[in-house]
Amino acid sequence: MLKRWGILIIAPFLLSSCGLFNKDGIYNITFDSSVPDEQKELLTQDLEVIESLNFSGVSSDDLDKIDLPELSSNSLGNFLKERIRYIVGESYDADTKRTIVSSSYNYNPSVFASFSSPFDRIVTVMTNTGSSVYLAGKKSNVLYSLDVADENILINTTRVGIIKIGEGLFSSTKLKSSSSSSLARRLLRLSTLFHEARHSDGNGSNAGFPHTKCTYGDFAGYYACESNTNGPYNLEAMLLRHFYRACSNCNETELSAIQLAASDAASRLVYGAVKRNSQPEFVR
Amino acid sequence: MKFKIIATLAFLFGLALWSFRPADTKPVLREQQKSPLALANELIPELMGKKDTSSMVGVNTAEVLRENEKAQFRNYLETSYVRLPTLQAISLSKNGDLHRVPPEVLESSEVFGYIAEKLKSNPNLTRDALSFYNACAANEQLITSIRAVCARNLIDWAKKAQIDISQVHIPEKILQIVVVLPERN
Repeated sequence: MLKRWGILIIAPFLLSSCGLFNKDGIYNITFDSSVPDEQKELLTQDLEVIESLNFSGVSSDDLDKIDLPELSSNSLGNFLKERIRYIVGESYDADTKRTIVSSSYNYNPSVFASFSSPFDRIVTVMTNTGSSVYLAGKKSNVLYSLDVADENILINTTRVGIIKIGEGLFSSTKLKSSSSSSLARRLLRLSTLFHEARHSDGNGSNAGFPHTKCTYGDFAGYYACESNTNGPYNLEAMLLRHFYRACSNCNETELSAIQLAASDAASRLVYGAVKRNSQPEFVR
Repeated sequence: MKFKIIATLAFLFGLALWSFRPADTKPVLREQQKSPLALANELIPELMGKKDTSSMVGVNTAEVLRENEKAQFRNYLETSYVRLPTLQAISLSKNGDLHRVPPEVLESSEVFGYIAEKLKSNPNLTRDALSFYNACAANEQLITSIRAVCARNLIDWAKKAQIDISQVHIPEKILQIVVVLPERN
């Protein structure tokens, strides 16, 4: 009898150590069942890469744009941990997973950004669904909750941290003679993840760090520009600048791809961009 | 006797006519029909299984190879230049997601990567590459991000080869991006 009780007490600890009860992955990020296994595996390995990155020659100006006190594997890990809690797949439909908690909710502060959703795309690369649903609720005074990974999450902040990934994340970074598990392609995907993580920040008119409409240049007329020096595009550009240096053993084509991605992100910054408060907005 | 004189004059006349004949074209035709490999056979006998190079006195093999490589590289630069993504190509992009880096931009990494590899192995090609980068950085039909990477490469490779490019004008809006891009070590 005593043996049986002993086994019953010890079993949960053993199972726990095997990971059966541990649904949180690296940086406590939970993958929804809508994420295909192959994508989940690649992205988990991408996240693991962060721990092995070494950075040097980071200027105070770089840190100002990244909006972090230091650039290290530790600080980047914590950055993601605070901004990404769930990753959902391309088949995840926020409209069907959404429940109205309050249909006449008084958001405070009720200041709205000039916002056009940059998230309706033909090919999903990555979107910050949590922030997007929060802003949609704020715009219509409705408080929502979302069913994610067998949980019901109250969408009461841009920091709710629900990120949607799609096939585009893996196909858009395709490079000839470079596998999807190469360091360069992992760093390109991670830069996108950090970009989306920044959409979890901001408050008031800048809640979610929305993209601004390009009034000139290559993307004129599209919501594909940046008016914040510490916004998603500039954060991405600065990280890619340092990922380039950290991309040891990368070949010239891979390094050029990182440089091109950094260039694209940096080209989105509009004249007169300023640094904005990145503190996230919460209600209730 | 008379007949002999006439025969001799006729022979000499015929000989004179023969000496004024048009040049024989047969050897030239033979040269044109040569296999392309024959040239390699003459220039690099070792590759064609011939060990003896003593008959090649006067031919500077290394020089010819260098010139060949340069010509090939120039040809690559010319064909790659016209394939660099333009603003028009981006607006017609199949992906249509202008929120993310256009796939055409990332695909260009093949060109920049190839050029960098060539310059690392043969610095003599640097001037040709700098011309390519200069033209690309100044071309307003190309995507801004591509132009900025060209400008970054122009600056970095010129510095490495100690070539003065102070007279080259890089537009301000391109320079603003260039300063963000990682420098080549």
